[in-house]
Amino acid sequence: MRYLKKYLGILWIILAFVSGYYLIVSQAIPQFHSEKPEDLVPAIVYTFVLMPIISGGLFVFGWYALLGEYDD
Amino acid sequence: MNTPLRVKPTTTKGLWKVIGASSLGTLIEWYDFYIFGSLAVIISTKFFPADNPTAAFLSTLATFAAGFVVRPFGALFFGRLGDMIGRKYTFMVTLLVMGLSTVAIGLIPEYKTIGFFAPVLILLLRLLQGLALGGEYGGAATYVAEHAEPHRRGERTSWIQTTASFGLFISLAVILLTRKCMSNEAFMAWGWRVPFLISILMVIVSYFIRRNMDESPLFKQVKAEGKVSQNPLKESFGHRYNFKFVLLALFGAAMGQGVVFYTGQFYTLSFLQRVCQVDFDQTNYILGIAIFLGTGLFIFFGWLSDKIGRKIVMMVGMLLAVITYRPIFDKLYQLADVTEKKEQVGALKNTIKKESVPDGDFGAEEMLVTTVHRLYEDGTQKDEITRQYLHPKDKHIVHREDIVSIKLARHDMWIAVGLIFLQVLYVTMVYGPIAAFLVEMFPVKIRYTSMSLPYHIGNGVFGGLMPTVATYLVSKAQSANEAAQAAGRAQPFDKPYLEGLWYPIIIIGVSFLIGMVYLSNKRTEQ
Repeated sequence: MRYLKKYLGILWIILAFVSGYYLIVSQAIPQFHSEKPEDLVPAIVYTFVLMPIISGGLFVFGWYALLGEYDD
Repeated sequence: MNTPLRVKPTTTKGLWKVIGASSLGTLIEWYDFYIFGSLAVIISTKFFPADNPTAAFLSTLATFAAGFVVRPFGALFFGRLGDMIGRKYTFMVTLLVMGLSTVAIGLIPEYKTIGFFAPVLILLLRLLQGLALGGEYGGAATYVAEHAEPHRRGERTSWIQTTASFGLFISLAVILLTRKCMSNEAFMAWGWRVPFLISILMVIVSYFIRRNMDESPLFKQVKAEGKVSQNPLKESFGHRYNFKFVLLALFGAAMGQGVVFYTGQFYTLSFLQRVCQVDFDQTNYILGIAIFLGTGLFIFFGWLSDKIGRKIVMMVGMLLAVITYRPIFDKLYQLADVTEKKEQVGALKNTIKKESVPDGDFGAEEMLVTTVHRLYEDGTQKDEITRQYLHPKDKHIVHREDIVSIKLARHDMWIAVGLIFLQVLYVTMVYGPIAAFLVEMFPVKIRYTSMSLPYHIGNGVFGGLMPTVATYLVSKAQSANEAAQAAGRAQPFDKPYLEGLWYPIIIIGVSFLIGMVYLSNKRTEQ
């Protein structure tokens, strides 16, 4: 279980990058380029709220797991 | 780990007083927060430019999301205060901020009267509501947990947990009652303000009850020992030892719990109304009954978590949600899908009437309302309503609206209640024990701050954005199907109306995996 906890950290870090890519490239950027003004709101939310929380949080969580912080 | 503090236990009578006062205030805060969401469609027509209903609706959804996004900030702001000056005073402030913002929403003149000040003021008040809610929950949960016996913390705090769903139930009931007490025109013109305005009475009552309560005994003890945190934010998030538990609480529990909560109650309502086009009042009845029947289960699962552990109860709830969401929503869609139903011969009714336009929308004073009423053999009813807004002078059509409203047959309505009850059951499994779970994860001196943030990110960010993201995924799938059809290709999505469920399924699945691997089922006391 200790090793599983530790090496799953890699999965969370990968997931952090995947979610960051999805939020920015697939969601935020097309909406920033949209001509509809209402699309700006979700684009900002994706970039400045969701991305740091989801991707940043998952990355740090994965990093801590990899360092063995959750072993006990 | 710190040594558990020795405090005089609260008497049973005193404890029920604590639970009652805390739950009542939290219930009112949820009520205040939900009536805005429940009346979102009406609010969008009143406060946002009416010539583009889609834009108006999206604006309201954005406002709704803004309300949720600021919740984590409220958790930080009030959590810090709660850990420094005490739980009691902090959650009295949140109650007043929430109550006054709600009443103010009910008093703001419409867009057509004060122009862009109207949506700006609504947005600001909505932000204040979100801020207050961010501070309220952590305070109430901590306050009750710190009075409760450690071995019954799950059961005691589960009363606080009932308030989120019961607040929604009361908001639906008040809206339905208000609608019943007046004509549809009066409700649309001014009656929608009533649920906001009556909040002031509940807030005053709750304020005076809470004012007479004592401070939490554990906080008093910490204060007496001079161990109150000087910088709760730094201690909560600046120290790796505590921050790793904040992340674990968020990704292993609160994230999945928040999405189960919002899928089971809000997305279901939006799915029935907007995707299945079920009648507004009937959807509220269906959800209201399911929530009412399920409310007692919060207490049961809180109690069960005291006996068998918090983790196992929450994880079973998440797993069931992931496995069953698609069949449940598919069945809900089938119940309202009239394409497979047989229409009753001779039951077709057409009515045409002229109605006044009370708000003068689209510059019209009158509209022509055409209703085609169809009855199906199983008892399902379908109204196809066309509203044509007429120019006041030459009577040409300035705007046209097509609305479909389906009323489920009695038997189908009860099946829908059962399907939503199942989702409420999952909500009670993940939500019932979570207050005790979060409280036990963090030490007393930074508990309010540390538990509030993961809870409000899980619910506010992951859960609160659920309707927006899911609606987006459904519309994207529908657009892809339409484009394929126009190009003569096979449609890529067999059931586009289910595409929105990928958001909860993935988020809850990840949370389940993290919870299963990293969380302990043992009750911990920091």
